[in-house]
Amino acid sequence: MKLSSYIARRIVYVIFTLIGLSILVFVIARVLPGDPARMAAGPRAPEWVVEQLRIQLRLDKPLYEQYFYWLGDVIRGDLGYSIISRRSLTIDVLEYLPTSLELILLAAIFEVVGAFTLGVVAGRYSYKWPDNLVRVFSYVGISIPAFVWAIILMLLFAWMLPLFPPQGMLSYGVNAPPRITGMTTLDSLITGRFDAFFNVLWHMVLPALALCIGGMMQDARIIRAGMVENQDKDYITMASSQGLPERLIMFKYLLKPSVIPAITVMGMDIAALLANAFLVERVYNWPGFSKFGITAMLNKDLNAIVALVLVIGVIYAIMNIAVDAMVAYLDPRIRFMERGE
Amino acid sequence: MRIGLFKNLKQVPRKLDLKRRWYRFSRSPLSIVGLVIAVGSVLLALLAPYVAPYPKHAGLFTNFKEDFQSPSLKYPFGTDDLGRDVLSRTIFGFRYSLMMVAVVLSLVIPPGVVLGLIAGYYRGTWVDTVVMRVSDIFIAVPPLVLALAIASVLIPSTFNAMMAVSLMWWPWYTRLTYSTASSLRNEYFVQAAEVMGASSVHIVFREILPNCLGPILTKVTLDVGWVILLGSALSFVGLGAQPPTPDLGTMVAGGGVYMPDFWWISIFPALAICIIILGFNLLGDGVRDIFVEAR
Repeated sequence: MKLSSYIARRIVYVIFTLIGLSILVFVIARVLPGDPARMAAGPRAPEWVVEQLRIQLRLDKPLYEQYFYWLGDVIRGDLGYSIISRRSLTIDVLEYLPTSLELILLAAIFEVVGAFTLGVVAGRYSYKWPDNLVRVFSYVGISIPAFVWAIILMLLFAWMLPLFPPQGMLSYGVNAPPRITGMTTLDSLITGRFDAFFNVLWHMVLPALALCIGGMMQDARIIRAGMVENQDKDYITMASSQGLPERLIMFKYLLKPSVIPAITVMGMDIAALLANAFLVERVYNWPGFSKFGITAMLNKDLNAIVALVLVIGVIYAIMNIAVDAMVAYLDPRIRFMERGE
Repeated sequence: MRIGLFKNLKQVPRKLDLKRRWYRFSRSPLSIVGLVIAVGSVLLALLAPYVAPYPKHAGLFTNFKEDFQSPSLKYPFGTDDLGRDVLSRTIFGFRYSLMMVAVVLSLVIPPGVVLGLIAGYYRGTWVDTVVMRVSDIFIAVPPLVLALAIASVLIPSTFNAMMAVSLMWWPWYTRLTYSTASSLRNEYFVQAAEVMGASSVHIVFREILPNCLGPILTKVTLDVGWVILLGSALSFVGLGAQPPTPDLGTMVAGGGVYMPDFWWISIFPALAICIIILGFNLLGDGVRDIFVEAR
């Protein structure tokens, strides 16, 4: 099978899964007790207003009809109407999502760079002190939830050692660059506002670190395990007995096959940053998607919750397909494998 | 000749060889640390009312005279904004975390495992397709996001947080059991049972299930940490246990407001979360060592 048809099959499959997901969330949001129309109108609104709103929101129709109306809207790019912000959810998502994505992107960069560095060092000095150090850190790293990392890092590096700002996205006195893409870092670069760019970056360091440490440690362990496993292979013995430079053996012959299992896990970990961002953004008061999401959740804005899960599902799916494609590209065995778990 | 072969087969010990497994487990000091932490936190949770210095502080209690006390001999972890002893509340927090684990795992494992067994046994048929594709839906978003979404449409409470976590947790057991069961499907002993006319119920539960227990048990120990993490994340956001319940996640979130001056209010419960998770992760790795033959 060719790579392109492999990816095409994955995409079709993912679309079906996403439709299933939308049905699941939609049903959960509608079946559970509570009257969305009453909640939107407020407790003191007269009955006829609620009734009208119910018709306007199509809540009087049977559930499956509501779903198909909603699905039609989504395909046209309309995620529905937010009961809380009183505007289209598409606007809300477009406003808040980029700010989260830039944070996740930086966390992903940290994660990949850190995981490779630590993994290679631990693999090179396996069973010596750097390896043991990485092992201890990986146990600690995995055991501490992202939101606890957020609090610990904030206490250490924003309060006790005030190297980084504790909260927010821009310091007082730094004006936000004009909104073009929605990502403040990118906007400030486009408009040449380097002061704003470095200011945002400075604010992003701690939350990004808090987000990625757990995953980074896990990935480092996997890279290390792969390198240690491959060290005993015959081709490595041959390469070193032929007197190839160690650097070449390390990075070309040892690292490459060790990377493939790590990429799958790394992709999942990076996709999971989307979820952890919910907690970390809350600690650092980062004005991203989670602020919008948690407000919606605490206020039972059902349309917004459905939209939120769907948007995250789509991003998650795209990331998974990208990782699968990358692994298939690197490891042809996967492409030719029969389907099956 | 053939009969002799079967005789030999019979002599292979079928029971869990406890002594050997314990030896394998105890070879790693980290596993022992994990076991000690796990047993310790269970004991602490069970004996909370007797161990905690101020059991009353776990519930509705205020003592404004002694609020925001920094850690001292009287209050080793300090006191919070209402003058409650943070140590006592943290000890009671173990209770809520482990109760959550017990409820979630006992709700999730039976249906998850049975679905996986059925899908694995009827591999390749429509049953397999339906079960596995439905489980895919639950895995299409990160677990935390789905749990948050489900919890948010319910009224926030400890019970509903447990329901939300349970509802999205079963697919992991289904997938795990499926992968083991479907590979066992073609083993000789399963085929032999089939040929002898054993019922599918017998094959699934008496032949396949016992051989899936190792991976399942490993996953259970590793999942304890994950469920605690997810539960505390839910209450951290405000969609789980509500104050004055001494839930660790709620305490971390509640103390966050008073950072950095009164750091002890959230740091100690946060460390408690980390220690439980660390303990069960180490224990889980030890359990895996028991079942995985060669490493």
